[in-house]
Amino acid sequence: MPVLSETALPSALGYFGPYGGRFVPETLKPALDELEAAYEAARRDPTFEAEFREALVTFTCRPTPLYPARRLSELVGATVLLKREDLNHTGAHKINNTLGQIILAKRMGKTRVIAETGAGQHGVATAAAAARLGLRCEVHMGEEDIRRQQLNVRRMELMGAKVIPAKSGTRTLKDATNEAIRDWVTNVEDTFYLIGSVVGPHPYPVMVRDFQAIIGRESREQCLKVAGCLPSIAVACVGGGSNAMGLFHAFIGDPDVQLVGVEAAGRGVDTAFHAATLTLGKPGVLHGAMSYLLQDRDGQIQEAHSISAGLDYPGVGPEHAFLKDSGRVRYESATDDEALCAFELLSELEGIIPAFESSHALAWILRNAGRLPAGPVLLCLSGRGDKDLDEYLLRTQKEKSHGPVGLYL
Amino acid sequence: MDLSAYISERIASGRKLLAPYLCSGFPDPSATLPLLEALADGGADLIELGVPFSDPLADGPVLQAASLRALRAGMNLEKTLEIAAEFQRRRPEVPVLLMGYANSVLAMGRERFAEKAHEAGIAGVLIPDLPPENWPLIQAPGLPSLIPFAAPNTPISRLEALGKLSTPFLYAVSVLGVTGTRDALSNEVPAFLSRARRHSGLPVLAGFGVARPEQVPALARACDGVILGSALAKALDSADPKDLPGAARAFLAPFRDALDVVGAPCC
Ligand SMILES: Cc1ncc(COP(=O)(O)O)c(C=O)c1O
Repeated sequence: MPVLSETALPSALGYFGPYGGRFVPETLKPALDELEAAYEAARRDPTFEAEFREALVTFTCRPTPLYPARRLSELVGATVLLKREDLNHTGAHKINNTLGQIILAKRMGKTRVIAETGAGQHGVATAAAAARLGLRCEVHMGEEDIRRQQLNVRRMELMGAKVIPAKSGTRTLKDATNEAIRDWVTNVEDTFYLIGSVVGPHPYPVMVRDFQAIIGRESREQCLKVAGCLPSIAVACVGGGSNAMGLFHAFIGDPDVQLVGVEAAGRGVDTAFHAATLTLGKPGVLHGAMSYLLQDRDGQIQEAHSISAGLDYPGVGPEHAFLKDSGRVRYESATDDEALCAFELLSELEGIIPAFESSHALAWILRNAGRLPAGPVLLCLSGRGDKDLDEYLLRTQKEKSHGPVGLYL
Repeated sequence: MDLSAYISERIASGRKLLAPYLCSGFPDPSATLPLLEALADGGADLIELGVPFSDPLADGPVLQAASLRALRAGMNLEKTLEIAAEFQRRRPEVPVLLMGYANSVLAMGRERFAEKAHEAGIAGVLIPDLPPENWPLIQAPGLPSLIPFAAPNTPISRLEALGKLSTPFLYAVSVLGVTGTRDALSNEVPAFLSRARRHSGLPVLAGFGVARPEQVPALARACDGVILGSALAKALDSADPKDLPGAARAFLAPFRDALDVVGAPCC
C-alpha cells in the first residue's frame, strides 16, 4: 500500500472547484512556490516515502487498530468500528501530518519550524516531530488557550519548543494562525510553517490531506478484513477538517459509502455560540484560502464557540467546502452537551476516553441510533480525551451530569 | 481620475510622492474626513484609506490595534466609501486609494463594490491578500485600478510579470514582514527598490517600515515615493484628540520636506 496517493483534485492552482487557492501577501508567494515544488518532488521520491513510512511505524506505531466496539454496537444497533487514532503517539491523528511536514522541512534545509495550535494537540505533535529531527520549534498559541491548556503548554516546552502567546483579537486559534502567518512573512527565509489542518493556502490543504490519508487507507483495508465489506457509513468530526479528509479520501470513489462530517454546534446552531462553519457559514477568504467562514454581513470573521478547542475555528478546509457543495459528504453538527454525553458514554461503555473533538462524531452516531444504514459504521476516533479532563471536571462539577448509558438504554 | 497619468505627471515634474495611509474610523469615525483633508493640506500626493478588518494578517501591532478600534466604533467598507466620496467632492485633486482585505470586498459583492468605489471616485484599490492571479474574482465594470505588491524576495521574473499588468504603480513592501515602523531599514532596501523599478517598468512607491524622515532620502532616491502607515497611526494615537488634523499636518511636514529635497533639481 503506498503511503501517498494520486488524485485529480485540486487543480494546478490549488482550487477545489471555487475553493482553496492562494490568498496571501506577495512575500509568501516564493515560499509557497518553493514548498509546492519541494512537496511535488518529495512525493515522487522513494527515499521520502521510506522515511515517512518509517516514522509512522516506529514513532507513532501505525497502523492504528480498527476496534469493533461491541457494547457501543449493541447500544446503537449497528456494528461500530473505531479507527483508533487516539492510540497515536502524542494522542491524536495530528502527528501523521507533522511527521510528513517535518521530514519535508528538513529536506528543504529549513532550520526553524513554526506552528499554530488551539488546544495544543497540533503544537505538541509538532514539538515532538521537531525534537525528533533536531529542528528549532516555536508554536503560536492564543493567550486564552494557553490559560486553558496548561498541560499541553508544559508538554511542548518539555520537548524543547517555545510557546509564543498570541495576544491579538480573540486570543484563540484564529489569532494564533494570524500570528503564525505574520511570523512566516517575517522569517520566510529560514522558517517552515507547519500548518495543522487541511487549511491555508495551496499546497497545504492537499499536502495535509495526503499525509492524513493513511487513516482512510488503513481503515478501508481493515474494514474489509474485519467485516468483509466496506463500511456503509464513515463519520468524523470536522474542525479544520484534517482527520475527516484523511478518513474520507480513501472512500470518495466508493459511492455506496456514505460520508458524514460532524461540526461543533456549541450551545446550538440556533444560537450565536457555535462553530458550525459549513452548516451556517458563507464562502469567503481567511488564512490564505477561499472556503466557508463564519462571518458577518461586512465580511468580518466571527468568533467560533465550542467546548472542544480543536473544533473552535471559524473556517474549514476548502476541500470540505467543495465536498459539501457537490453533495458527496453530508455535514451535520453536534452540541457541547451531546458531545459531553458521548464522551461519558464511550468511557463507560468501552473503556476508551475520547477527545472532545471525536466525541462530536460519536454524538452524531448516538443521535441517529436506529436510523443508521445497514452495515458497518466507521468512526474516526481522532484523539484521546485525557487533555479534556480539566474542562470536563469544570463543566460537570466532578459528577457525571448526563447519566449517559441510562439515557440511551 | 486617471491615476496613471496623475502619477506620471508628478514624477515627470521631479516630484517624489508622499502617500500616507489612514485607517478609516481611527481613532474614531468622525475624525476620518477632517484627517483626510489635513493630509491633503499637509502635502499628500495620494492617500491610502484603509478598510478595517477583523483579521489583518499583513499588519503589525499598530495597525491591528487601529483596525480593531475602528471596527469597535462601527466602521466598515460601506461607510468608508461614503467618507471617501465626501472627501473627493471637497478635494477632487487628491486621489484616494482604498486598501483593505479580500473578504471585505467579497462580502460586499464584486459588482456592488466596483460600482460604489467608482461612484465614490476611488482611484485605486490595494488588497494585500489578493495576488494578481485572483484579481478576476473582484473584477467588474467600474472597478478602479488594482495595484500589485512586490517584496524583497520577489524574483525578477515576477517583477517583470507584475510590470506587464501596466498598473499605475507598484507597491514595494520594503521589508520581509508585516506593517510597522522599523528603527533601521536594511541597506538592501534601496537595491530592492531599484530592482523593482527597473524590472517592472512601473512607478514604485515604498511602504512598510518607514518610521522617520531621516530614512526617506535613501529610499526616495531609489523609487518614486514613500507610503507612511504605522508611523502616522502612532502619531495620531499620542496626539491631542482635540487637534488630530493639526497633528497629522505636523507629522507629514518633515516627510514632505525630506522628499522635496530629494526631488529638487540639484539632486
Ligand atoms: C483529537 C482531535 N480531533 C480533531 C481535531 C480537529 O482538527 P481536524 O478537523 O483538522 O481533524 C483536533 C484538533 O486539535 C484534535 O485534537
